[in-house]
Amino acid sequence: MLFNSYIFVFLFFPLVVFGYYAFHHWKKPKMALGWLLLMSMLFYGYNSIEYLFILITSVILNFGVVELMSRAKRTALRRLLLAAGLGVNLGILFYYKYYDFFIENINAWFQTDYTFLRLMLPLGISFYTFQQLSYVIDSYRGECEKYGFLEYASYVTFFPQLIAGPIVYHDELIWQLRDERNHKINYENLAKGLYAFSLGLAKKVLIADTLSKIVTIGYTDIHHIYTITVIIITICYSLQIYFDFSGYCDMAYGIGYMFNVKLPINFNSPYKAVSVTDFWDRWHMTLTRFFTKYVYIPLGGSRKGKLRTYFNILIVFLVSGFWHGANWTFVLWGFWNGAANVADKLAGRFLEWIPKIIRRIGIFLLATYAWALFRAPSIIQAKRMWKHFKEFGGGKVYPPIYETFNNLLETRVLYRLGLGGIIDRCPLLPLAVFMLALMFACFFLKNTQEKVEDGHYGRRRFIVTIGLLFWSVLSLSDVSEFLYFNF
Amino acid sequence: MRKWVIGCLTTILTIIVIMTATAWIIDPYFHFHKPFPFVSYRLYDERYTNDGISRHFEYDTIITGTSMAQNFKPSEVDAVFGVTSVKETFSGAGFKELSQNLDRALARKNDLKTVIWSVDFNAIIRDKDYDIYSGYPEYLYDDNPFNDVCYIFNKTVWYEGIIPNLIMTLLGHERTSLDEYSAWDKELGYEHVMAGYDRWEERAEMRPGLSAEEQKMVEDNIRQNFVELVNKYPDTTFYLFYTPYSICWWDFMNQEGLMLQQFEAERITTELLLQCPNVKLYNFNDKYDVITEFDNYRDREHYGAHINSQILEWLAKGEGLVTLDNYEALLEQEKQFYLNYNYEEKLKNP
Repeated sequence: MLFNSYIFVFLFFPLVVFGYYAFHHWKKPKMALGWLLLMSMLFYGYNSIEYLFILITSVILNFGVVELMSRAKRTALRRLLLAAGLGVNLGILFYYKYYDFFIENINAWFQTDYTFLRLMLPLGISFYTFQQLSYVIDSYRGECEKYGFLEYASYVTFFPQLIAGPIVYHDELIWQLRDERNHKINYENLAKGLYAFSLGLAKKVLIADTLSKIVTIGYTDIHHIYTITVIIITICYSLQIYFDFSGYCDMAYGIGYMFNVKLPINFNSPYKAVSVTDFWDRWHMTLTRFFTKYVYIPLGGSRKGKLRTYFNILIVFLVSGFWHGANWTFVLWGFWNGAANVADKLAGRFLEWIPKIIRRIGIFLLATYAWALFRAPSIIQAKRMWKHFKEFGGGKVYPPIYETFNNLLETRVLYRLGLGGIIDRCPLLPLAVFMLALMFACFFLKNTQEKVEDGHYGRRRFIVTIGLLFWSVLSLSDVSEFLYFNF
Repeated sequence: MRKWVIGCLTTILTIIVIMTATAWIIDPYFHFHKPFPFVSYRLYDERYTNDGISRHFEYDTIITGTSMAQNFKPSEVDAVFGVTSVKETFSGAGFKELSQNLDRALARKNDLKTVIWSVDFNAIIRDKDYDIYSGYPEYLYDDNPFNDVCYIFNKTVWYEGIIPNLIMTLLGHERTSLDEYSAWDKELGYEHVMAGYDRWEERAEMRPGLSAEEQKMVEDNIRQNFVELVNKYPDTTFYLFYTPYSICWWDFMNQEGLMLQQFEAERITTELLLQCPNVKLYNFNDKYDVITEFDNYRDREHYGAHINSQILEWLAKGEGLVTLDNYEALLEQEKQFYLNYNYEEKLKNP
């Protein structure tokens, strides 16, 4: 089920919240948790029962491994169980996500003819696998208290974060579900949650999905586009992925709030970053911290000299790239980011004399270039895009790009409001204004977490919340999926 | 904060109730009920409206087809045939879309007497599932009440349907009649026809006929989209006619070397349709005075509204009726005329 769907907004979500607090009101905390678990599974299994089966298996196996580990006295046995836990999680992930990629490459390199599995990737498998890996590793390290199965299963399947993060650790979520103070309706949290959800829904439905239409045209009709159109498409994609993911995070954050659960911040205005390191401290923060805790630090982090540090950074980003998808484009994207990070470290304070705004734009351009790799369905397509970037084509913009934008209902309303003459004379103007406004918002405006925490919940915020909610809901009839579902 | 949250939730609920009630009453695409006499309807988007017309209008005859049928006037059909008709055309549709729409309408309405259906003459040699339209408002086509939420809370429906209807009703404007619905009124004549015709200077070699695969494609196309439907509803009479295109279209077929293929496809189609007792098939390709007169056409294919009226008269009188006895002779006559016509002369001196 998608957050941006009628069934979620009108039926599922009100029902879960109502049931959750009703059970708590009747002093039935286990029933409340059971309700949450049941509804989370319904949320996940809504589109595919098969996926649900994989999720349930994964939860039972991980819980079982940790249970056995807690009973095991001998270190060797605990180590064996850790290996089993890691094997189960990575095995499932490999089977569903990477098997065909390896087969494809083996077939290409060794001229073999192994058959593909052609499995559909279970939604959010990379997210819940990582969460459970952290649970298994922390349990092995003795950094984890004991949870009941209901608590554990409710934590892993907690629907606001189930399919696209944030990657929440067990010790961040479970105590919040346990805490009796959180079992009553908290109007402050409800207000914050509702506001964050509206902002997130609008980012996804009104901004990201609109940009997605433009980007799709560019990548579909790649032979017709040249320098300026390539620039437009690439920036549009950079903005699309930003608003798509940021919108999802805001919604997850908002929904969490409505259950009195504060999810970790995952997205902290990354395009305000002034260095590559800063960018990765702001973009998909829970993934960065996961890799830092479970890959970078075990590799030695920065404790083994500069060269080793750079090597470790490169490894982390390569793994991160591969985590995003089974395609060489993602590996290349990871390498690019790793290399940029190392370069950033090498430059040290040297870049600090450059004004912040210039650095901010520089980081935006670097990221935008990397996103072009990320979006391309293959390396060949990425190269093709680069080739077309170098062909000026008379400076023309591919008309379907702005025609599609000008055909949006909102632009048609502007047309009817008397701006038709201007739009006819300069058909690219509405899209250009839209893009500039979004870039301005990314560079300078407060992000959702800041807005939610500060400010007065008065009339203005009331109108914004209700207005954005209905504008978005009315736009749901042509929905697209979240980009981060595929990871 | 309590006040703020309760205010928000109350407002959300109120808006939901008001929007649902308004959408239900105005119901611009007749999904919930038949048109109310006090609402002024703007009939506009065919693919959103037609299924509602099928469901809730009172009629015993359907006029359907593509843009070639858009200028039919139900009022004229009613007068000529003595029936109560509605018009359900689908711009740019493939045969499958038209056939499926009729199937839905006929399944709901057992007493449907007549169907008048323009058979696009240039769409016979096509895949049976040909369709260029995507993004169908499927929630309007099924009987699932839950997905009606997509209709009620849909900004396009509000912008194109509910709000214009509300404004028209409040301002006391007349509703769109079925005669006006989807009809077009554009200038006709030689200039317009030739403006969209990029004529090949060199004539292509005439292809001998259809390959075995192409023959099968034509057969499948006609069987799936016409024969099966017509046989399913034996009590309904289907008036089918090949759309009479301008001489410019025939020239195009001649220049491209496609003429013999078209004749062969026509033969297959005609033979399949004539096997259906409840089909009345018409061919107006021998109405040379109409076809060779550019003032009757907007472009290579599209004739003006006066030709639609003319077609209705022919249908009623039985002019152009194709039967098992005359179809061979008609086809031969058609071949002789269009294969030997002096197109160069006609295009130079219209």
